[in-house]
Amino acid sequence: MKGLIIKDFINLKKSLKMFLIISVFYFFMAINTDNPYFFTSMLTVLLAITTVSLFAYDDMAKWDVFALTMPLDRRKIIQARYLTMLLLTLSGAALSAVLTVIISLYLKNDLSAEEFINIGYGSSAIIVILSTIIPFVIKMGVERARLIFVVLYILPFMLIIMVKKMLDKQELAFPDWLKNLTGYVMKNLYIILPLAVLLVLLVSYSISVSIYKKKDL
Amino acid sequence: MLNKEYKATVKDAIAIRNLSKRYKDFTLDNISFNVPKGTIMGFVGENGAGKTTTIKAILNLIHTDGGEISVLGYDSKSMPLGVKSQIGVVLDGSNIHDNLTARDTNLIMKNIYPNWDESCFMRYLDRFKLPEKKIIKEFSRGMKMKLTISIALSHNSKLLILDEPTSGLDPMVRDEILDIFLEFIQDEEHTILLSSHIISDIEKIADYVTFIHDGRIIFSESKDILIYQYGLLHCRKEEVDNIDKAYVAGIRENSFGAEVMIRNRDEFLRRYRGYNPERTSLEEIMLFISRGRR
Repeated sequence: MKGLIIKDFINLKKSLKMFLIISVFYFFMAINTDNPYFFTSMLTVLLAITTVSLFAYDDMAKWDVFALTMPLDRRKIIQARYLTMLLLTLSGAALSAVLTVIISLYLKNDLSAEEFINIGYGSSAIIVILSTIIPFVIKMGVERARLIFVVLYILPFMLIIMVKKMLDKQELAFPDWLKNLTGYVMKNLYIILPLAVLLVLLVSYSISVSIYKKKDL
Repeated sequence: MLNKEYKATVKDAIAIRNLSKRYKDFTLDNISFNVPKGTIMGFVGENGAGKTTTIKAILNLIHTDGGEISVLGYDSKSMPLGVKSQIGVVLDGSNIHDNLTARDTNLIMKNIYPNWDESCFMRYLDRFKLPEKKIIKEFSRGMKMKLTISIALSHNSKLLILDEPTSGLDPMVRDEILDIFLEFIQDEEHTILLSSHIISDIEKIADYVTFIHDGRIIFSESKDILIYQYGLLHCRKEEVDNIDKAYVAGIRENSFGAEVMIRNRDEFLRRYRGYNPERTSLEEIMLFISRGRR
């Protein structure tokens, strides 16, 4: 399995170089804007999203059919892909954190914990998004899964906008229990969020394994 | 059909019994054959006859609609990873990412195969004159094939399963590759299943030949016996009807007369004393069976 992760990272070598260049570019953008830390979470998202291109690379090389002739089973191949995804997200988060520190040192700002918490939120969000996407990619390939990505990105925004509009027009009011629940979740987010992310990750992983096990290659 | 009886003995590196796989436009129809240990089995048939589907079924890459396959004594559906690591596979195409190098490949395989033999791999790269640091995108088709063959041979494989390893290569490279396979088979424990539509390659190295046509096995037999059992008869068109259909594998007619591919040559000779079918080649046998009239 280690071999598969090494393969993924070698394949990303070129893109990873790109990221270092983008980081430098972001650094200069950040120190010239009012919201210097906004860009750093973008980095996490960009890095994590490359997981999807790994599927495209494997498709192009017809790698999977070959990999399954090796001493690997289908579960291991999926495991490796999820681990790569987490490693990429973590490196993105680490890169963002380092960049945040460098920017604040450069701007002589006081660092607040909030910046780092935001990186945590960003990473959690991207893990959830990728966990939703990956089973689709395994089922229908990167090309055909593209449409689903678009829907997945747009749908939450549309929903939020719709709900907000309805709230403004007072067509919809949150019942008290929902308000209480939201309050409770927000208060305990530091513990609920990681658990929720872990749950989503596990569900996504087991769906992916079962799809992949049924697939004819 | 020959080899109808299936015996799951350790004598066979691969044993396939009643394998079926249905696609919308193609069916692999109840096929059975064995690959004896220590031999090279040539698996021939035209493009689309079912060679790759069969190989994919052997490697458990596709789900089948029936039948059993045993590989190195294990059910192909539940092969232990340790057994899988003793199988070297070359599939049609290279299957390695374009932007990797041969050196990257070594690093990856070292971390996948517990029995990876790095020095052996490097020797093959050297022998095939494959550059270590060049990306595979810049390799020719022959070089890509040689790289995958090097991988297949560098983890102490006992069984090689090769799907069209020589197709699209020039005669010199093909010859070089076939020599490697002949070297591999010197060890009695080693076995090769080699699919090809290039019959001359099979004729050159195979001990046994399995012929698949339209999703069905036409024969699976020792090459020498095959060539001995078949014969090509030249005769007048009118004479064709006198021959018992049981002996006719295929008929080709032209303005001068007819050519009949005779099977069971010995028996035929006893029954029809006047005729004398001449020795034939594997290629002719297959052409008559797949294209000739019956």
